[in-house]
Amino acid sequence: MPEHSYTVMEPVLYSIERRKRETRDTFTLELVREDGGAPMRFWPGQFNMLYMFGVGEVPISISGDPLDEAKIVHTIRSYGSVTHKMAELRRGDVIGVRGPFGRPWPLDELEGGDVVLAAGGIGLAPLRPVIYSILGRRQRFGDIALIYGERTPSDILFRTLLEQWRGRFDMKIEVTVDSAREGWRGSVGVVTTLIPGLRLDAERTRALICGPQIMMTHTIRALKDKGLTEERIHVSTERNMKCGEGICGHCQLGTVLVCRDGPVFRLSEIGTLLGKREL
Amino acid sequence: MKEHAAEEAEKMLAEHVFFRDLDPAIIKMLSSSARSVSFDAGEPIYREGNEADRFFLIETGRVAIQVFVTGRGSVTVYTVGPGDILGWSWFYSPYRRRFDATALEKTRAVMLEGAFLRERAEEDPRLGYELLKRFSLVAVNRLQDMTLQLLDLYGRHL
Ligand SMILES: Cc1cc2nc3c(=O)[nH]c(=O)nc-3n(C[C@H](O)[C@H](O)[C@H](O)COP(=O)(O)OP(=O)(O)OC[C@H]3O[C@@H](n4cnc5c(N)ncnc54)[C@H](O)[C@@H]3O)c2cc1C
Repeated sequence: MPEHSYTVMEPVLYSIERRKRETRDTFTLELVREDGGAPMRFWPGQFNMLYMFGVGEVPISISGDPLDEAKIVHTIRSYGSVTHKMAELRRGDVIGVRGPFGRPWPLDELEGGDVVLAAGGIGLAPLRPVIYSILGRRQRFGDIALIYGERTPSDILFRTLLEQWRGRFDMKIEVTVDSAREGWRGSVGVVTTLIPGLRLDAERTRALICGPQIMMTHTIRALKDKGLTEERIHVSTERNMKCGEGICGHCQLGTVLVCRDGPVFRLSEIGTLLGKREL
Repeated sequence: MKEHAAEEAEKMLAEHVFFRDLDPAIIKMLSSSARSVSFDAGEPIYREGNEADRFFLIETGRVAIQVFVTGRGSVTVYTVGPGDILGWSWFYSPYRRRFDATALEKTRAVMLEGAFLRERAEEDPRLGYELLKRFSLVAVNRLQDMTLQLLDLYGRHL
């Protein structure tokens, strides 16, 4: 894992090199350093604190390819005050970036086995770097399956990329939506409905899950029904964050701090905390 | 709908998860009414209001369960695929289809005669209870899945 040799409290300036509209409320920003330097190195699953000057700072996962040495990529769904403003960013605009932060997905542990990636909504963004990494050295892994659930067909992220990956035939891709108008020929039903149909060997499979908490809770249940133990299930959790460095305590989840100890956890580390109502 | 050789249906029935651990004698009885069938993409399988006298175990392909809404057309509320059961209205009075079902892709399935099963279940409460447990589970799981769909799981990130 890369060490932070600089102070991560200080934002580094990045300019928007490209802004791509993904869906009605989601967009991707490709960032390059203002001073022309090389962008940060990161591990899949890590996130940055993105600072819109005068508006605020939000944690956003890195959604690009870890081997891309030219730019750093974020995919953002517009929710509230800061992300609404971010949606207005245009090519050439400058933002502050702190990071990368957090514990990444356990890529080394995935090698030699099968992998199921389960994404719900914008949760696909933090999983995309894992897929890039796996496909970059595909022969080191067994069967790979991505199951992804979204609200409607028009909310589906990275459509072209998903089609390309499906065309490779060395990876299973299943997308399902909650509701669809006439014309959609894909699956309808929440993402958990795709799990019983997966042919998976619980002894050699690891699952990586990222999405809203309720989606993760039900996905975990369905994977456990397939025989996966908590040791083999990894989740990316979210809490409101401020410092990103384990100092302020805003993102506390029981006994752990999501920014410093997570966002990725092995389920056996936090199993009972995840579904707790009062947290 | 095209029908295929009977032996295939028997084999598939014995291996299907839905009938796991079922008494082999019951499997044999079921196979006597089983037929292997296939549907082309876009082919209607049944329509709301039709008499419900059959059900299907999907082997390959995908089927949309739809509601027809005037002004909006057919709305897909759920899809079923390999390993799933299609149709349970044959088990509950008034034995009428509640939804439309349309094959989305080329689909192969085993078709069973619900009316025949109902009669056997009336005669043999042990068989009836066994079937009730299995079909109720299908209905309960669908209900739960559809409840989750209504929750808009992916609407917000937290
Ligand atoms: C580790 C981590 C990685 C994330 N990765 C992504 C990503 O890749 N793409 C993406 O679109 N979003 C991601 N998020 C969520 C993103 O941080 C929030 O959507 C954002 O902070 C909302 O800020 P806002 O000012 O636009 O909304 P606000 O007006 O502040 O709030 C709108 C809603 O967002 C919730 N919210 C506010 N702050 C946070 C926060 N820090 N974390 C989670 N929810 C929050 C509020 O409870 C409220 O429901 C991530 C969050 C974390 C913790």
